[in-house]
Amino acid sequence: MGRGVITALFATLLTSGVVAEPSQLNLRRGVTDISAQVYDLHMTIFYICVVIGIVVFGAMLYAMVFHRKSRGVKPANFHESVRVEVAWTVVPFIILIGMAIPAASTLIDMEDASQADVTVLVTGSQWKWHYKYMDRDVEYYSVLATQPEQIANKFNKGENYLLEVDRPLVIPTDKKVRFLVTSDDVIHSWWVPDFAVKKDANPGFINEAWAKVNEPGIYRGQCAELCGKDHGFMPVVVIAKEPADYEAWITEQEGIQRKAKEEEQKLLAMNMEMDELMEVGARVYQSACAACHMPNGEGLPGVFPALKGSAIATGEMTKHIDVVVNGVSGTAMQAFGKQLSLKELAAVITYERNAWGNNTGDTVQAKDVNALMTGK
Amino acid sequence: MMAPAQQERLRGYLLGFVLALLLSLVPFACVHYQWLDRFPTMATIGICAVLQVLVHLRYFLHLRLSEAKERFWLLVFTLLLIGLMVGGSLWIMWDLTDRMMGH
Amino acid sequence: MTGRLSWEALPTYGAIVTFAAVLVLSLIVMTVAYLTWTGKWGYLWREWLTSLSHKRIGIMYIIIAFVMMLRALLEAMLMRAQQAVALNNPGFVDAEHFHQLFSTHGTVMIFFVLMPFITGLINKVLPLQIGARDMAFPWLNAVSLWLTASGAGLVIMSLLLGRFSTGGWSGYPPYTGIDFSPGTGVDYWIWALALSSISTTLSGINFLVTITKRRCPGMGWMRLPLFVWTTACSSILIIFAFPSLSVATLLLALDRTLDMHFFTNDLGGNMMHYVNLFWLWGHPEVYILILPAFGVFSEVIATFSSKTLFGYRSLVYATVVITLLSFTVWLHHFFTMGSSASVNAFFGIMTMVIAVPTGVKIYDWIFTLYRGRIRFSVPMLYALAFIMTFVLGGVSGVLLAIPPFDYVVHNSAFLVAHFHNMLIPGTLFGMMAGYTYWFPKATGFRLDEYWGRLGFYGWLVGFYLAFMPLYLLGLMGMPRRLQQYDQPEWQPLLIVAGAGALIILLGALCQLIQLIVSIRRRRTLADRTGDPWDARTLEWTIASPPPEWNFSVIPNVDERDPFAAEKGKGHAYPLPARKDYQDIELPRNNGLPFVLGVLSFWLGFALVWHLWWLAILTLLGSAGCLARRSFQRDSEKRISAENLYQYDRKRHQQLQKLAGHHALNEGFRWENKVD
Repeated sequence: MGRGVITALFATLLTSGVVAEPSQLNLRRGVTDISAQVYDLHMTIFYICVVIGIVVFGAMLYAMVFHRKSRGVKPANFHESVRVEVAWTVVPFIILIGMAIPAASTLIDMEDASQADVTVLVTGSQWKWHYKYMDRDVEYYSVLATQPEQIANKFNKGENYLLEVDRPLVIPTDKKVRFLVTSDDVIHSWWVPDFAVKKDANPGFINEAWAKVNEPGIYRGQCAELCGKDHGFMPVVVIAKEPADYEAWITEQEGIQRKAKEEEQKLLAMNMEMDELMEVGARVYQSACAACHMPNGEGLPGVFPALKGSAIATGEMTKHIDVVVNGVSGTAMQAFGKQLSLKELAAVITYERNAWGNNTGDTVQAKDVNALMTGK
Repeated sequence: MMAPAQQERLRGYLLGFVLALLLSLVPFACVHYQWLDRFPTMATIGICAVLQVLVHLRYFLHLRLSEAKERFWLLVFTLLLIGLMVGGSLWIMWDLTDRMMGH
Repeated sequence: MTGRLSWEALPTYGAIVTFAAVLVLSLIVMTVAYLTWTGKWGYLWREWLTSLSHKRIGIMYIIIAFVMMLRALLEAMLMRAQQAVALNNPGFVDAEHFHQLFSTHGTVMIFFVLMPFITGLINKVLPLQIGARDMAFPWLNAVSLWLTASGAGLVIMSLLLGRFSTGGWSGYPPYTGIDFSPGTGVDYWIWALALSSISTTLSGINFLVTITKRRCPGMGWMRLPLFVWTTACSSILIIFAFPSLSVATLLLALDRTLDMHFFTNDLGGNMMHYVNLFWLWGHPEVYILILPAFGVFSEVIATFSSKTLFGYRSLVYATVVITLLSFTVWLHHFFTMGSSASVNAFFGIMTMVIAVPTGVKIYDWIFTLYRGRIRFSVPMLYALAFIMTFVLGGVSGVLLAIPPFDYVVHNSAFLVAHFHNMLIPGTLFGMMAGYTYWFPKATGFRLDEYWGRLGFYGWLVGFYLAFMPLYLLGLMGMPRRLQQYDQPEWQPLLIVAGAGALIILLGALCQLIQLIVSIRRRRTLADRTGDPWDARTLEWTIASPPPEWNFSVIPNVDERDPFAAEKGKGHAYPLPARKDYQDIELPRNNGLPFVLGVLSFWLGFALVWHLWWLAILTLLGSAGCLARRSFQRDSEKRISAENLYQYDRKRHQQLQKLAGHHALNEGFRWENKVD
């Protein structure tokens, strides 16, 4: 019988996963108490199932081996036994209740995000995450750090090249961190396996999850809900630091962000050179625009419009700024006004107006962008 | 000329048709002309919908409770399933209102 | 005039797509050429396209299922190949195309492989098992068939003109809304689903009415073959659940085409309604797919164990309980969408509870095997493989029913492994078993055993290799629907999975060869008795293939497994007296359902491409067809009692001759050679 061999093979596959290399081919134990609970739950139920499997398959294999026609057996004629049937309805029921109780208590723990020490608002959008520390003055986008050329095999790749972001989320260890999860456009899902956290980011809704990380380290995850073309390029990176280090980091960030805002005010008064704008613009374009409009500015016919030679990128400048800053409602074109700094906006619009033969010769300055944003 | 039985049937269908039409027009009119407040409008739509179902059962599917026990139980079963689906959906959506922005 | 249609719609966005389109086009041209060359158009029209016979309709459904399966399998192979090489590598399928691949694969497999396969088998077998001459509504039955066919046609069309949806088979808005998916893909998906869901709803009504109204005398509810029971329950699920899908997709269509806001975030819409409506259908759908397979396995296991089913009553109760419970678990498809602990816990526990009746079924089957006389013929191999593999899938299902665990592996490869584990060894093996088991009843000859076994082992081994690694990958944290990844430890497992898919493909190829070999060897494989497996239910009392009218005299049943009982008592083939025969009426062939199908295909096409004039024309045409049917008077043909009597007498003489020195009325058990 081929099946016996296959079952044996499968059993080896599973047990090798469990016994030989527990960290490799199995659920991760993770780094929070909850994730450890989930892991234990998983293993308990797995072992219960193995026992049930042995009993059931044993009975079946016995029948298959000993009651086959080639052994010349005569079929028996029994066809009912209320006692047996009641037993095999009631016993599984009891086993299931036995599983449901610890499961429910873990679930209640997982859903109780109250009394958090730190709260982070996680907002998904095509195809990046935005983190905002609710009790501190820090917020930023976290974008895939890999360049499109690298993905397309044109440059060499680093390790974790798809799971690397420009600015990871930083959280303290040993503190209860609450994640408020939402989305700006389509449904995404914020997933960090090591925290046993996966919450869908639904536009218009704010979902909750939390984690209390026990060990400092870098933890990686990915968007888990199909969200469009670059669904596979929307990594989550979380760095857990000791509370003191975290405090130092976030204070520093607050300082940087405050300074950046001041800089921006100053910027309004000065003009930047074309070369500098183009250089910054090229970089911003690769990280913010190239996913849809393509690195060569040609877009994807029928889905994302081309910028090369387009009416907007070569036409009136204020219209162009308006599209980039406020987006185009009813399309996938997002409002970048809040995602990028004034300098970056000015640079990227300049870049779009001068790259790929769009040579309009226009330079867009931070104050131009600011004028439109403030309605002046 | 039609036979009386046939005439009777035709009358049934026509009556059903007119009722069904009315029950569709009333909710549309309610929304379009804004006769009522928000809640009474929704209640009217709901009531019209249930009546609509009953009209269909009575005049087009010719279901009468008096006819057979089997049909009664089928109806109970139907109500049970619809109760599960509608009740469950309401529960799920209600549970989510807290998570909605603007609430 | 041309709406959204332009030269850009041609499939030139990738070599693979262009190749596939050319392949499809040349297959169509070759079929047309073959039919013209052999002058078969008239035959095809008279005997098949216009047929209202449940037997012909059943066969056509299964043909649709196999043709579409070929496409979906090739897509699966492409995806597996892509993932096998896509470590730090864009591979050969870009993300957009990859997303199209899994969206079509899922849509096709669910709506145009499993559903037609199930509907086909039910069509073929149901009336025969309850001693009826046809479905309750034969014309409606043909309409269902051609609506499914036109839906399948739309999916194929998406390969030739435009693209298919990239929104996955469940198509969640807002991503599938017009803002984020402006192309025609989602529209193809919506209208193909709409056609299929209307067709299925009509079939469900037809089946349930047939079962309640067309049972032969003595066929009480507690004497129905299990396959009929599961069909009845599946039909109830269809009738209640499918409208939910129709509504969800049509509202999405309104959002997309008429700028409405049911599922958008602005203007009062709410995308959670879509998710809720979709799974309100989606979970019952799982049982719509699995219950008929349970029915097939019940028949196959009883027949090939030469033993009556153990615990018939508990099997029936379990089926009914599953039917009811399947309406209480749908939220487990979106545990992570933000419901509170109490809601998640309730639906999680209900989901675990559903494992109990399913377990009861498994135990009943095993006890049917126990102390039977087991013959390992191909249908039985599928049944045994099913029990074993399905239990594994069920166990992973219990794990997934636990919300904390689901949070971790939801939308990971684990989930993909789980539902394939339910749908392949569950539904698909059930359909394969049923296909092999009832093939002689449909055609008059058995399928070749050797190639059948090869096909079976291909599917079984391929399945394990393709999906067991996915369980592990999911646990290791691999999300589903990844076009590219950078975790080196995933690749070996993905290569194994790719090899598994290849073996499945080889298995399917063996089945194709099996069909060709069987047709060529049809004389040796002929089923002259009508009872090739020493089976137990009514359909095996009549000839293979059965006459147009199935039963010359409607049988009278007084117990379960009526045919087995009669064989035991030595009354297997009674010849009724001449006076018991009566004239009968059968529906005449009718071309309108086919025309309706063609019209609805073009209606769908028009709605996808915004060709409003065509939409109006086809709608008017469809209304015209319905009106025309209402005025058709002469829709039945008569077969005289004398004809029926002569037919039966002749068959009886043939059987007598075949039985030779054996006692005919004890059946043809002695003829059975499979061990």
